[in-house]
Amino acid sequence: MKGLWLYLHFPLLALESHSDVLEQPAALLDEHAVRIVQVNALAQACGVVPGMAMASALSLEPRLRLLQACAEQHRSQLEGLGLWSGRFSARVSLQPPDGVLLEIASMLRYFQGLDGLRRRLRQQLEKLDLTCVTATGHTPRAARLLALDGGFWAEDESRHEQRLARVPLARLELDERQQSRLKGLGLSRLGQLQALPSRELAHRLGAALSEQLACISGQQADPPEYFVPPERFCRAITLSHEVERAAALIFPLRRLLEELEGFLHARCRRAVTLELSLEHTQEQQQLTIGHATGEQRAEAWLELCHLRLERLQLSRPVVGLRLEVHELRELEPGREDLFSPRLPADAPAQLLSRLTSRLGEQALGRLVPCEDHRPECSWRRLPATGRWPKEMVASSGRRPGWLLMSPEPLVADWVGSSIALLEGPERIAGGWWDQHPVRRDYYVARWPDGRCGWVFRDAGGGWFVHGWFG
Amino acid sequence: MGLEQLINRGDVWRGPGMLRSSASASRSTGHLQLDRMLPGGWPRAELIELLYDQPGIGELQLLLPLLCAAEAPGWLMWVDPPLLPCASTLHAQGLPLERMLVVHTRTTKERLWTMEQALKSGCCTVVLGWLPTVDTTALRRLQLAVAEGGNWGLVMRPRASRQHSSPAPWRLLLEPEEDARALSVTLFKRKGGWALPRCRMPLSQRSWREVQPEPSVNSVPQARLRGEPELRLVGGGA
Repeated sequence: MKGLWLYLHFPLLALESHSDVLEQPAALLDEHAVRIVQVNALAQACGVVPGMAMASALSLEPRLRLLQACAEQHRSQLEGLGLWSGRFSARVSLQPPDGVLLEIASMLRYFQGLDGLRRRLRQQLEKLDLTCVTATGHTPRAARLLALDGGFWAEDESRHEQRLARVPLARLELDERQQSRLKGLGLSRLGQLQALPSRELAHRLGAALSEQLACISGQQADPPEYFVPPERFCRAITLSHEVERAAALIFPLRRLLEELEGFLHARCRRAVTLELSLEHTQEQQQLTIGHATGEQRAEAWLELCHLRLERLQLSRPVVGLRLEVHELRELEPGREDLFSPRLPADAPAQLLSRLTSRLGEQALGRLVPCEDHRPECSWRRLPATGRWPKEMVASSGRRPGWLLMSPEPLVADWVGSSIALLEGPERIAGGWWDQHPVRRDYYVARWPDGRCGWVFRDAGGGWFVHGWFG
Repeated sequence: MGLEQLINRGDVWRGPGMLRSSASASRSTGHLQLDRMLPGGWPRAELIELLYDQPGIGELQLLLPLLCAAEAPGWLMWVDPPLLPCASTLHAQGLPLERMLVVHTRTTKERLWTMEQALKSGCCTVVLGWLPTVDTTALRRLQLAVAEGGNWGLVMRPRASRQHSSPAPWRLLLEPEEDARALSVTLFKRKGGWALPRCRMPLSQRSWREVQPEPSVNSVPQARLRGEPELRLVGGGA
């Protein structure tokens, strides 16, 4: 089962998925809350090491933040990484507890070689803020071994073999008895073991070991179990502490959106609306964030979420986030204009989504004329995107550029004295069909300072101004 | 040092000569006189300020040629117009309504943000914004945004803001003429030149003659009747 595989090893996954461990010393406790399993770099600098008892760690560093391991949460984090990896390869396998295996031989051309893939991977890993050791290998097991041994990148098979020969046998994850037997035989490197004839090896140390060696070298097929991404994207994370400011939610949200990008990438889809729920201790708050045409990139979504969260007042502290995607659309490549003379920074859809996220849906609209002679009914609001009527009603008569939302009364004595009537009357009568009948004589009128307005006299003899000739 | 060298050094200001080169980046205002005052029309990628107090003086007439000539994919964005733009009028004047976005905001901060985003994005051909009194920093941001986006940005402000300095390179004061047949324009700040005196722009569409009001709305209409069903005697023929 030869090819090219990439193994991503996240040694501190359980610890680093908590958002607040970056700036302070932190350690992860085992399930019984007795011993320390993982420590971050800051805690390590204080002298805290894995395997230490909780009490002695706290005596070394009283400010140490202790976090409890949770198997369920850990599994879900690894799944999240599986989704995230969808941007690099369609064939992803989860390697519990903290690894992800990708098949990359078929992807090298797309990324323009191994270096291109490596560069891209490094960029994306930076955004994730997780410690990661990466290694390539010609078999899944070889990639895993090299990642556990500190990482290695090469495309050439012989270089892999040379590097593998130097891997200490302790990395093989054998039990204590076998380890000590190998030690007793004077073997310490994988190369020494591989040099021995396999039949004799199986006879002395058991068939399991020689099988493992065959899997590493590729003599025996060892297909990994591929990860099947779920049909719908629905991810939740629990925050390690209560968040009271909406802006502080951006950090955990970024990870969810990066996972979403991988998910969408693997499925060749764009997301149109996201449902973000903020979980409080008792209840939850629902937010809907939309993009006008659909978007895949986490960066773009993060910006929209940022704008939406900015105008949100948190009534209670948030303890968890949950992101669901309801509407997906096919990806249509090549929609952006490649040869436009100026380079607009972002597509119109991006601007539209940005405005709706901050101002709300109802703040934007287009105006379309309607078939009604009453000026107040002669227009209609349409949403900023969507269908536009094929044929529009042409207006008749002289209409002003500005309309007042409702007519404002005028002092009747002014009309004819200081306000001169210039043109008219134009009679507009109608509305007998919808209980808002009007019967008005409209005139163009000139104000003493030279402004021109649109005034009318209604059936009761009162004068009103209804618009301005801008 | 010769004259040629001095000019080539680039630190000598040459006045209106430099404007002629940028005339291609302008679009006509529809008034020959005004086009001459401006560099051939409304200048692109530069913030333009129009100061006037009340609507109804013919202010839209100056903008319509610019709005109607906007190329196909770009939007025309109106940010917080004080009154409702009349859809049928604008349609009749040839404005592409399907690309005209009207945005309403709640605070001045949001209004400035919206304008800045729209100007910067480069996908709005024209951005019109009505602003109350705002500080210089806000206008400076808009000026930078319009330069980045490279399209037309116009802000409408009250006449009182003439007293305050502004980073906008083009500032025009619009005042009504008493006979209502013209609009007087004062270009009191411009790039590469001194302020220009008040100038009268005739408004061609305002050729109205005075009339007397009809005695009553209920009288037999001499006016054209709109919308009412036409009554016709039917039957009884020989």
